[in-house]
Amino acid sequence: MIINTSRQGEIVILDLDGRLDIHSTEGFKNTIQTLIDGGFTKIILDCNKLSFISSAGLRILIVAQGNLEPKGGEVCFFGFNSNTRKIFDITGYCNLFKIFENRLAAIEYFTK
Amino acid sequence: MKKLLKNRPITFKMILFICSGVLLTFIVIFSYSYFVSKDILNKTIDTNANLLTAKTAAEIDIVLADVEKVPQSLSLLLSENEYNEEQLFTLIRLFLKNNPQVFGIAIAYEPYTFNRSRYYYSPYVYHDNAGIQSSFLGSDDYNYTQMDWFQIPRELNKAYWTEPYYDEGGGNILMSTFSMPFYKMENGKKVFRGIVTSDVSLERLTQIISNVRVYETGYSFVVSRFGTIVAHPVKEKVVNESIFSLAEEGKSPELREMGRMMTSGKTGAAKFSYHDLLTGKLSWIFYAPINRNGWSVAVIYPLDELMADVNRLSAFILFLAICGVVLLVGVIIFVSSSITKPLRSLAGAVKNMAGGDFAIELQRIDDKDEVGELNRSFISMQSAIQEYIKNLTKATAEKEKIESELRIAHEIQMSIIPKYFPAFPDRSEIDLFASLIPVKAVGGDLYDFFFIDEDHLCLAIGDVSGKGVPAALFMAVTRTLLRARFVKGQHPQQIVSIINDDLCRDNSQKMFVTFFLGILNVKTGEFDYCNAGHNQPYLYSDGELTQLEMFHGFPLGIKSNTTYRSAKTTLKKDDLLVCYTDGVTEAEDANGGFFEDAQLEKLLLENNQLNPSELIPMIITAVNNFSVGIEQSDDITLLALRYLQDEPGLETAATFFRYTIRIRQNVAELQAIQNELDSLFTLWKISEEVINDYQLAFEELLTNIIYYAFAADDENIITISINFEDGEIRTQIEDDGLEFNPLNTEDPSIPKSIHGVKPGGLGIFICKKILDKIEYTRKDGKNILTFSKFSS
Repeated sequence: MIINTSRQGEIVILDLDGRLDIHSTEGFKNTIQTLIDGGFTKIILDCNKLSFISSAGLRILIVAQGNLEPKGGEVCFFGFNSNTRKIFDITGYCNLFKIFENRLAAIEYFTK
Repeated sequence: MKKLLKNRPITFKMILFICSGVLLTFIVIFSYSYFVSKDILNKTIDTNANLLTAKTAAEIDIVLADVEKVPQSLSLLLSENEYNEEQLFTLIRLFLKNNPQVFGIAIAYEPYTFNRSRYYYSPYVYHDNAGIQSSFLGSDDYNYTQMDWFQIPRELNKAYWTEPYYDEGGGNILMSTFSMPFYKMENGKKVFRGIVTSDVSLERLTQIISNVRVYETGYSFVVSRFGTIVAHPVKEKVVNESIFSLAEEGKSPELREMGRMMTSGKTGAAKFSYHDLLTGKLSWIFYAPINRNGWSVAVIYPLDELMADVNRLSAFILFLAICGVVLLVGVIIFVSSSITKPLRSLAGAVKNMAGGDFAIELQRIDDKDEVGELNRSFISMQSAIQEYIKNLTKATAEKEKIESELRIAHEIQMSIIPKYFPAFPDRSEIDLFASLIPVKAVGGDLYDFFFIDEDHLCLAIGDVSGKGVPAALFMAVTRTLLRARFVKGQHPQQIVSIINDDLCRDNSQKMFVTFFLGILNVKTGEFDYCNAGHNQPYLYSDGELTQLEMFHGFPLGIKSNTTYRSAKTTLKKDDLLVCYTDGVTEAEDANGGFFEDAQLEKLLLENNQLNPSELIPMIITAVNNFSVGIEQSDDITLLALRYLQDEPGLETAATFFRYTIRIRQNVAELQAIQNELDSLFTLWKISEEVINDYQLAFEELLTNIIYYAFAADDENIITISINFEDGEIRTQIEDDGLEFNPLNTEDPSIPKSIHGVKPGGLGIFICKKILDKIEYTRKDGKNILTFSKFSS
């Protein structure tokens, strides 16, 4: 999986390209942890090019969300496809994360 | 000339060159010597001949002087004294007796002066055979007053030598007469009284000149002042001939000219081409005058005799020269044969050597000269050649041995591959043909095919790295392993994996073999195959030529525990499968170009309708034509199969994938399988959504197994079999890990907040949700997990 990072003010947007599976969790975990350690609390994941997510990936997101919440931060998503959305639905994780239709909606959420 | 010399032996050439040189020198010296000696001789002859001629003239002159003396003395006596007849006779007899050169003496008185009554009065004494005779000259028949000898001195008042004449009525011989007048003083006046004469016999003169010996046939003669012959060895010529008449007779103007010179009192030599009338020989004539009476003496020198000395000298020199040349030739023959004899024996020996007899004994020549040097060189060359031949023989024998071993290796190689066609005459489902054209040095290609059971045909083709006996042995081992390790019911990748492990063990030569193994269900056309680094076989189907889709594994023998993967396709009726080794595509032409895949593909496309047994020979012919003139560098192997069974129908055609992996507790190994599954499912035309679900479940389950069933440092084997049939993707995962049932985990509850999330069981929970079936059993110490996902 390739991760492209961009910033908009204090918001960090990670463009995920590929599969968030057992093989890519290590890199993804490091990226998120580095952002949190760097004081970034508002993280948006662009999932337009994300084709796959497994339970290993989900665990990273749970850990990240758990770390950000006390800091008033949050991880949110936009651009799920049917497959990735399905995982969130099956697991009920859709209740734990904000999932937006598009980039604008996600940014608006944080800037409000 | 050059060509003429080229083919001659050395002796001949030496003789030719040296003798030519010597002869040339000799000719120069000889010519010089001949002409110089001839010149000297000429001078000597001139001197001698002049001397001889003068001497002869002087001898005659002496005689003539003696003859003259008598009339001179008598004329004085007669002038001073008066004698009577008796006294006169006594006086002239006395004079005659005392002068042997004189033939006769006469005192011819003027008529009537001695005796008034006698007209003729001339007492005459002369020699004849009986002695001295006396008589009187003068008669009517012999009127001496009319004779030259009387008349001319009387008129001239001085002495006179007559021309030679025959004194008929007097001496009756040929003679010449010296006449001298005598006078009487009367009254102080000289009065002519008569003539005193003395005769000289021409025979006497002839005797004198006969004593002059000029070599063998030379002679001399005397002529008078008018040219009349006075003395000559041939008596008939005397008086009767003159030098001019001789010249006329001999038609010799030179002789006439010489006659003129002689009669005019000259001394000289006539060296003209004069063939002497007497001897007929080419002669020179020397002449000198007798001044007393104007006669001339000539001496004839025959030229051949004159030159006899020179010629003798020349002949002797010539003889010496010939002897010298003969001696020289002998010396040359001796020297050259002493040089060429060893050369010839050497040449003979070398000729024998050239004929193959290298053991021939070469005669040793110890001379320090060039021939000896050559001989030593040849001897050392011979021993070098013998040594070389020995080595060559040895090397050849070794090479033959190796070649024979190679031939045996080749025979072994060929004996272990099936090569009788049709291989399965009773099987109508397939038409199979294969061919292996080995390189001379024995390559390492192999092919094999055999029926595993009634329905399953195993096909294999391979190519061992390298050539020669090791390659052939490795090939034999591979083929033996294939047969030995083959277990019915196993899948190609399992067999390949086992063979690989066997080959890796004790592979000290680090050899490897590219290998393609396929198992064909001849009833259904299902073809499972596994490739270990071999050239992708071609499949001609529905007018299209493709290379079989496959997973590429390492060649066998490189790395043990390598993962191999099978792929699968289904052959339809009339599909043509062609396996080959790189001996085909890498066949080189004279320019170093390769046959290339493209040409093979073109051939296959153009000849797809041919039977395998026609197609393969055709391809081999094409390859041979391509490589014409180039020695084959690698085995050329081809295996072709045409599937002839009617289509069993797509519905029943199962698709199967099996994969065995040796794995430690490391999920990274899964990545490759996941990728392959993606392409496999795409191949099977499974929808993206189903693929996604399946991949998710696959990852979750495998991750669980790896993390929970396997110990940290152990290596475990997982075999994954995927069967796609009737829209169901049925998967069996078999592992040799600890007993672990992933389904035993509790499903996590649906979390309400981030704090309520429990990490365990999430993956299995997802699997349960997205899979259509999932089961676990523990059997024979193995965890067997089966699950299904429907494609629609």
